[in-house]
Amino acid sequence: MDYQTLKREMQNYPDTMTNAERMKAYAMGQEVDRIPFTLGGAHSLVRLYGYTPGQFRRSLDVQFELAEKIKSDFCGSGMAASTNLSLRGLGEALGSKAVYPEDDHDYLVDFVLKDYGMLDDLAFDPATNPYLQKRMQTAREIRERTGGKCMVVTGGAGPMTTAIAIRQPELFLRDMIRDKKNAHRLLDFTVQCMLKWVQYNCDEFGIIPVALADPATSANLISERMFREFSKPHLQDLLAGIKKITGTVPGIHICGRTKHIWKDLAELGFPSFSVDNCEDLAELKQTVGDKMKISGNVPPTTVLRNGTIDDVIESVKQCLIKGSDSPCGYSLAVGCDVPLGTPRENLEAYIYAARRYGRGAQKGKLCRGLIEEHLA
Amino acid sequence: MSADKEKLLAELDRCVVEMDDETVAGVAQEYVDNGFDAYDGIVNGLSKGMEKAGELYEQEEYFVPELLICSDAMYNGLDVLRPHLPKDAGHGSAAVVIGVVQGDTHDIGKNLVKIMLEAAGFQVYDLGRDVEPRAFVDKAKEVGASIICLSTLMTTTMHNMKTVVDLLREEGLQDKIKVMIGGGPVSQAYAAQIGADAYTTDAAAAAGWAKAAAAEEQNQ
Repeated sequence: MDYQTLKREMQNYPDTMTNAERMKAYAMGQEVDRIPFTLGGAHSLVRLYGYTPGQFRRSLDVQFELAEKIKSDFCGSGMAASTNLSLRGLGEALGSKAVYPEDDHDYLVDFVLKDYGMLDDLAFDPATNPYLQKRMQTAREIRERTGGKCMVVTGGAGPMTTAIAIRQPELFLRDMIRDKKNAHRLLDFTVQCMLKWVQYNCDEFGIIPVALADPATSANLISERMFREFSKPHLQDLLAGIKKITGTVPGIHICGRTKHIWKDLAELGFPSFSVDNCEDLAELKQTVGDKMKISGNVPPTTVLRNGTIDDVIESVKQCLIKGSDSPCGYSLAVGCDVPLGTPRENLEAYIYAARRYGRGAQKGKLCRGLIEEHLA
Repeated sequence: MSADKEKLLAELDRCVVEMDDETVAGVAQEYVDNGFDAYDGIVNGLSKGMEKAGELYEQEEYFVPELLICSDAMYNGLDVLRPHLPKDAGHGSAAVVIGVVQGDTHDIGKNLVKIMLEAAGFQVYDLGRDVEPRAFVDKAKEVGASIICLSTLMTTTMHNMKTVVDLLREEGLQDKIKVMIGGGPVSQAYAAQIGADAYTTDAAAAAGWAKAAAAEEQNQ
């Protein structure tokens, strides 16, 4: 399909509900206009609007402008104030060094915890830490500009991922065999930090949603046995703490291979799980679909960024066929973050396919669009 | 081969594959003290153990932490054996240039590939991370490498792999120097698209491909 045809066809499938209406009705088990979907944050789409990631980071004006544009172009939910520390923020707050390339995402170049003797001296105090205060200040400013109306969200990374933002990954991975006691100490420390952060945010903004990701806990790095020995108990503490503060348990995204730990994730009580494209959505549904809401998993690079319009449509179709009748619900998502440089037409193809084949979505049932088009 | 030598080789092998990174130096020392050939100790002891570790990694028995400790054991053993190699040892072993492409600093994958390549007997020139494309080509020319290994975990830096392939073409070196790529966002399709010679999924597979490529070159 060429871009002109896509634009034309798209008009046949307009949304008839707002994102909020759809989410609410879908959660209650009602049929909604189309399958709920997510499509990455504004930071991934900056280039489409002629900005660099650096310009986006530095300017609230740019962030506001993009939030509005993404709302109209890509079904975004508008501006939100986020204090999510993402994968590296907690490490940076503690003294790991990050670089911020003008035209790319940030990354860590130096890790603060050289030896465990330093661990007791690492202080994580949201009220006095300059990095954390800057994050709070930005969120306050965004809120003020919207007259207090925008949503405030927070979050961060799971224990394993935060640990390797504090201590050099290869050293920490060795510690898991050679220095287990200290590895656990560090993991526990990450949990205490995250909980302080969530508490501090809730004290200021009230009860707000928390999002979690933990890519470093995947089988690309550690075994199932190590997950159970190191990651799981600390995840459990983190979830219990978040539940105590906010009253709810957050969902989680884990990049990479996770099949071996799906049952553990359900057992830990995660209400939702967003899966990487390297895993099979149908298998996920069969294994834990009756316990968690699942989402995924259009391949971000090979399909969304580098594929054609038809590749994207086909991939969305397959996701809907495999996932949309998952008992606890399903939302369409990309297997990981939307890559910088993803073309506009592929993002539109994703939305088009979600609206067309995902029309008439209801929890636990295949989308009506699939059935009417004899695809399932 | 004497029974003692055989026993010590098996012990070097075991130390590596069983992550015994503390005992290995003593075993290696005993091996050289007995006057046994250092090169044999590396190839039939340490490297053998590392290859087994690589197989366990492919079979998902071992993961990254285990492989790192095995490599610590291998390098601890190498530190003892290497000074006892004859001066011309290493000559004739194929050279490989490896690094993480410009703009990316994720290097766990690259380091694992390096470990497996060294275990397989390659002379590995590691340019580290965030390496500009030209540096790969220059180094490969300087050391006469027949393989360049490029790694990245990020979609935003993948294009630098293509730049390396293009630079080799510009200089007419594409038949002389092969390019292998790997990393999270990279795929077989991407390798074909940019004209890289190979895409491999993990460190053990990377070393396997490199060995086959080097053998093929020797037969030509």
